[in-house]
Amino acid sequence: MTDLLSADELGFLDPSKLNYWVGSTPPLPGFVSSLDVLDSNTDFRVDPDLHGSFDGVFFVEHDLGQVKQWRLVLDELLHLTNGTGTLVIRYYPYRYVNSHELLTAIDAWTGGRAEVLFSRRWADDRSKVIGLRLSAEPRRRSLDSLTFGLVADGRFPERITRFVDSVMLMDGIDEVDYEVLVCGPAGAVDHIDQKLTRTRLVEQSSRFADLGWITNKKNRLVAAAAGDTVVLAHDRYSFTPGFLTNLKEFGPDFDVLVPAQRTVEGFRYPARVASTDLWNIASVGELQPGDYTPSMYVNGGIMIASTEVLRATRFNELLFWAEAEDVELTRRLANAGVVARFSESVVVLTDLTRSDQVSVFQRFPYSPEYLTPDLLGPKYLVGTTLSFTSASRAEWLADHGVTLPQAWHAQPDGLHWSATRSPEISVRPRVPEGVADRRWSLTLGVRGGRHDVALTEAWVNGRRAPLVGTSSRGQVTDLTFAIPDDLANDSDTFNVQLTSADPAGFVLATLRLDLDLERASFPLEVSLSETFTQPSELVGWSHAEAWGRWSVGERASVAVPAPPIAPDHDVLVTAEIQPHLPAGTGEQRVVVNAAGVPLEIWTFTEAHLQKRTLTVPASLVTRGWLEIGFEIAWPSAPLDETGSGDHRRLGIALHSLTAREIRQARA
Amino acid sequence: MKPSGRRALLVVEPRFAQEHVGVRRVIVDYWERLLARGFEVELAVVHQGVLALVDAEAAARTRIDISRRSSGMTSPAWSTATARAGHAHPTLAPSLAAEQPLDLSTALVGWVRAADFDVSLLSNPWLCDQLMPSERFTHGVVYDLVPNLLAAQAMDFGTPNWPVTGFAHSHHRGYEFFLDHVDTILCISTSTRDDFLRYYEPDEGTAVVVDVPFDLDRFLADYRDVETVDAPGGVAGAARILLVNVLDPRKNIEQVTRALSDLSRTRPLSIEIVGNSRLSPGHAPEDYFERLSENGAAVTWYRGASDELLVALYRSCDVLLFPSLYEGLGLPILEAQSFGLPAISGSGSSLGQINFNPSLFVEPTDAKDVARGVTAFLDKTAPIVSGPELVAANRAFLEAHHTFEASLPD
Repeated sequence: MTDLLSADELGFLDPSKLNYWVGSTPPLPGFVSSLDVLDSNTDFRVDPDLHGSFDGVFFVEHDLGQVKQWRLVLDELLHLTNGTGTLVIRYYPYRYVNSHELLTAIDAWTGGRAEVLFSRRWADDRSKVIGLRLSAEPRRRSLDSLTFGLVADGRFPERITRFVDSVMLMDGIDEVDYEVLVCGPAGAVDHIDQKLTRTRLVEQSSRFADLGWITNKKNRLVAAAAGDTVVLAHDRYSFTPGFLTNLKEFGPDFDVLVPAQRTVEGFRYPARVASTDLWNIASVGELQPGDYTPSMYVNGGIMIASTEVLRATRFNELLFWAEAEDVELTRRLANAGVVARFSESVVVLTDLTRSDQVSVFQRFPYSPEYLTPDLLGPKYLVGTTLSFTSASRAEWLADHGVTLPQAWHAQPDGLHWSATRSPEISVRPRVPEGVADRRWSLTLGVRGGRHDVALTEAWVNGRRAPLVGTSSRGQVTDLTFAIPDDLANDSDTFNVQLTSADPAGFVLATLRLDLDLERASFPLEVSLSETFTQPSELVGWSHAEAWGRWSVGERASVAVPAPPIAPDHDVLVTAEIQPHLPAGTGEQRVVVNAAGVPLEIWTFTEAHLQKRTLTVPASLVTRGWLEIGFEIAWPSAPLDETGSGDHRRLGIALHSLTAREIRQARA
Repeated sequence: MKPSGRRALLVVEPRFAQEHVGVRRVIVDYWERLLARGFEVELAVVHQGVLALVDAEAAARTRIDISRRSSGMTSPAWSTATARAGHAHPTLAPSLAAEQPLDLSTALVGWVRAADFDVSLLSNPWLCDQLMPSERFTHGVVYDLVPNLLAAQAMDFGTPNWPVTGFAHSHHRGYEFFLDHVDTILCISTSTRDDFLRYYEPDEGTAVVVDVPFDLDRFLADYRDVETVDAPGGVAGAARILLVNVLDPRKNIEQVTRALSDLSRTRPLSIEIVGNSRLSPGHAPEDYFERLSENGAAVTWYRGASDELLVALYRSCDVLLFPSLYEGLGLPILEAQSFGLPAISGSGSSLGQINFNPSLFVEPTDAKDVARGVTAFLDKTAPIVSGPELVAANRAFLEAHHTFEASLPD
């Protein structure tokens, strides 16, 4: 209907006002115009210096109802106003937005302090334009004072040390007022220099310690926090040196922020996660960067939030560990008008402490529709070869249980992959019933280039998958990788990340996932020489040489697939080792463990090649893997000792391992 | 007067003569006023980032085309009598297209610079959003800020206002170009100048003046031979009410229809409508005509009427009803008053400044108040200025608001 605003009502267009126009066609002076708020590549974030700067924000040129991530965009629009001023939004209440959702979100965010300035609708057009006058209290958001809160249980003091160290090593940490709070049992931070590191214990409740009362711990951390912004983390997390720099670039004006998560090897850990429905957590999924679905939730492992927000909406202490307190909190935050924002640039590091941490999340490709994690979603038919040519569209692959990143585009000859652009492929196989002890192999068809140089490693769910075979068919070379058994038995999804040492990369033509490789059998013969190709996982070793490998640093390990072991049997491991004896000690000492459990201390006083044996109980051959670890007491570099020679910090030269099944002595 | 050798350049859109009736009339006015001041007038369009000169023959033909339009329909496109008789209405002859003015982009002869001319006038702001060369111009014309205010949600005429954002931005960019490149900004009314200065801040080197681009004497001279026309008939003793360009949401067709339909219950009305339809898709003019005539009024619609027919109706009707919601100027009121014909209008925007019958001001959003104004006029219950007295008031106003000449170089 006809509406001509009066002079008083037109105050929002007064030239003295500063307005923000979403788009490229501002109609009058005094408008800052930009499309940043619609840019999924920057997580819908404008220059943070603009937050809270505007008397009016106009979303008229575009239709918010057609923006799938409208909830994130709306949050950014509201933060541009900082709660006061005029907000004008055009939307067609269809597809992604309905009026109730939109206006409830605004009403909640402003605490009910929004009034209608005008509401326009037309007989011939289903768009609506609403003009709202906001008068909410300005929000206090700052990164000048930060609290890093760690949830601990006292079992892993080294993780607390790592967390605190990573805070101390952040670029720019000395420029902010920060503190580290650790919620755990008494004495949990006694091993930390608390004064130097500004670390303080927030003692956990003595109640329900066995249940993991993480809601109570997090509330205690928030209550004790002195910072305007609090980072709440479980003890598997630590920070990159650039964390604070990137957080400042994102800006302080957020309520809750979900950072991107990576393992130390760079593997992407699920952060943009969603449940089946708002309250249905039967299945969970992971979305592509920039995507959104209403059932997303804040992954409880780590969150960055306004302390004020988490004091107003506390964790529900009726819930314990593994009861999805994060999903429940997210829903109550939403009721308070708070939506979690996401950042690809703010990154934290995480351990993979459980094999299903990654695989439980169904990976989604970007889709114009809202996505719903569903156990019954499309799955890959084991043993079929999928082609990555331009004829295989991402949607078709998704229907066959294979998800590609949003930005991926196939070329006629396949997926072009390089070291600088190495997105992940996610495969969700249909797992046959009745296969209790699964073994998977992943075969990738690589076209062109020197595959052995170009494609150096494959990682599956954050674990390195050893190369176990190569073969050729025409111009395509098939590389077969063994998926570690612990992942194979627990995983619903395999997220495959390939690394390339060749800047020119390679072309990935095909993918096939097979079940049940040839089974390993005793005796296991493990050589570390450069000609060896048996499935294994090597950590802490230098490059392969004709005879084997040198350990470098304090820790090294060898893990190999192992066949089933009879209950009354053990495994006898024989190692062929040549130690490096440091000049200062004249001997080398090695703590040998299996699956992380120390079993022997080997002391070497002679530098020649020698054999040592180790009896590994069957109980330590877990999930089908035999993993032998070596903790080197005195690794040292000959160069440091003599002024010449090898610069590596050598410990032992491992030539081979042999493992055979033996009857337990007591039996 | 022979050309003195002084040159003036009118920068226009290539198809301006076919589009934007208001712009066409403004260009005619400035063209003739420049000729009257002894300038040789040439046309240019913006073409690939330069000012491209229109060849003289095409310019001359264009001047003839736009100066006095005798072409167009003189018979009704729709009338109550024809509709009731069940006869088919004539359609606007497609052959009119053959008589339409040139597309000037087909008649370019080279490029020029504004600095080569004594006067260089940008005939509208939005053409500056088309790779306009960064030159200095003497004049630029501001019509109104209606698209800008619509896009900024300051107003709503009952049809979706958001699609206008692109056009509004072109206006905005044009105004910013004016501020940086134009010596004198000509606003076609005081209210337009007020709107412009509310949002744009010129520096000291730029003058923003009101110049009403309507030459009453030339207008009267051009049409002095036009006779009155009889009412189309059908309703004896009916008051003749003229509606100009009313088939447009901004011109308030909805409230006009309600007001006149109600009023025709109590008195005979002959409603004569001039102007093409600018209704939203899905709205047919016939629907409004049916409603207008449902209580006995005789309705006649001259679509694509010639200027001569329009003038004849100014001279023949009793009153112009023009309750537009917002105007940059309201040229039909000035034209009607040139023949002594009073107008009923709102008092907002420019209308209150150019309608010299304040007793005939109505609230345009209220159909009952529109009907009240018409009744007051017909019943002569309000003091009304008309005839020579109104012509004199109109002339005095226009003389007071002609500043273009003063801004021209000697």
